[in-house]
Amino acid sequence: MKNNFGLSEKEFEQLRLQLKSDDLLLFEKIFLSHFKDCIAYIEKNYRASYEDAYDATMDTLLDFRRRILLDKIKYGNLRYLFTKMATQVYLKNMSAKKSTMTPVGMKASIITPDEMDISVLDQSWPELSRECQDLLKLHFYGKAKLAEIADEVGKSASSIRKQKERCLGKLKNLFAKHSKAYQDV
Amino acid sequence: MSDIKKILDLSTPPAQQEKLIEQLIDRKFDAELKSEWADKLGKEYGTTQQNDKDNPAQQRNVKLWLTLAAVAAVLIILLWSLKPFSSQVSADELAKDYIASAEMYDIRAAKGQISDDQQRITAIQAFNQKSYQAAIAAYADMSMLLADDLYYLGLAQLQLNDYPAAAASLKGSLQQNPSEQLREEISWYLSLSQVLQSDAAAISWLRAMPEDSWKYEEAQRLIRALEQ
Repeated sequence: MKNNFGLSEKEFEQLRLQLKSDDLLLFEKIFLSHFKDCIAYIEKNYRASYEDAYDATMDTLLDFRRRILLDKIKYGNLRYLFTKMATQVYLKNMSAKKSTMTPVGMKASIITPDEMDISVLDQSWPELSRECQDLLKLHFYGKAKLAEIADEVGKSASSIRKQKERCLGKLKNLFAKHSKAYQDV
Repeated sequence: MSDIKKILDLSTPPAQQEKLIEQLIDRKFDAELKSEWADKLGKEYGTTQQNDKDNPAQQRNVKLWLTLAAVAAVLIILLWSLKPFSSQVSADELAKDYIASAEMYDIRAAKGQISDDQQRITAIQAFNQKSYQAAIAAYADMSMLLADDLYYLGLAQLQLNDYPAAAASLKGSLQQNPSEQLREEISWYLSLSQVLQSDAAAISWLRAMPEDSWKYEEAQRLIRALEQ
């Protein structure tokens, strides 16, 4: 169990089920308590700066959560897998950092397309109804299938599918409304 | 070209639009989770985004805590060696024993933290008089329960052997970002309620208890009993 952050296979399955119902308590309890070890490993083995190792571990934690939800992570040697993923993320981050460095004397653009996207989404999201926010978050961020959501709320899969289409339509309209301010980006 | 422009572009196939929306939503909530975790890492695990190795004040704090932890460890070992221990005791018996021997007293009223909420005062007074049913009823009548309220509600339910309700209240309290000290106490009683429900998650909570925790030795005994 040491290789699996002290989790038995049954406990890991329980953690996966809790994540699916948006309960992060156990996931955080296990992984945040091992965060420092992963930073130390990257610092030691790749001569990484503390800050870069921290960022890589944080990115890995987010990806690990997503992969558990998508059933892409199986119980086995979770500690090894997590460390391996973190080193890959670190190397990828370092290579991206080199390629995006702004040459001396050149001003970075005021707002990047990525920043614009997040800004538009941040403005649009609160204008969606609570039902749409819950459905889209559960489906896209929680990686829940529409049939699973239908079971959970006691509706048919087709009505949930229609609701999702309506919510996506509303979100696109809000994107159109809020992106007008960024037409030159 | 930004992803939003691609999403709004009528020539983008719907499946691709949806994929792009999913990626955007992932980025938004990842950023929120990242900030929440960074906060928790700093407050609960002392892991900050900047390295504190070069900070002398931080180093002094670490040395002080290490000294205190060492003193506490020696005391625990001394107490442990004086205390009779039977390896035959089951995890359930241990958990019940820990609950029965715990000093449960809501000190908020005594501290003067509560002055104007009559319903809360009634709940606290009932709790302190060990009228747990009355305390639960008083909390049930309140419109908004704070982290401390949910904690004492969970303890009252624990005293009445309603372990599933206790676990739910204690989890609710944890979700309200309680202070570090309260969080440690909640985690301890949550693991006891889980042990008494034969919930497999109990052992993970107990293992996650840091060595300098106030109930570390008791948690280790419970783990050994659960593993037997």
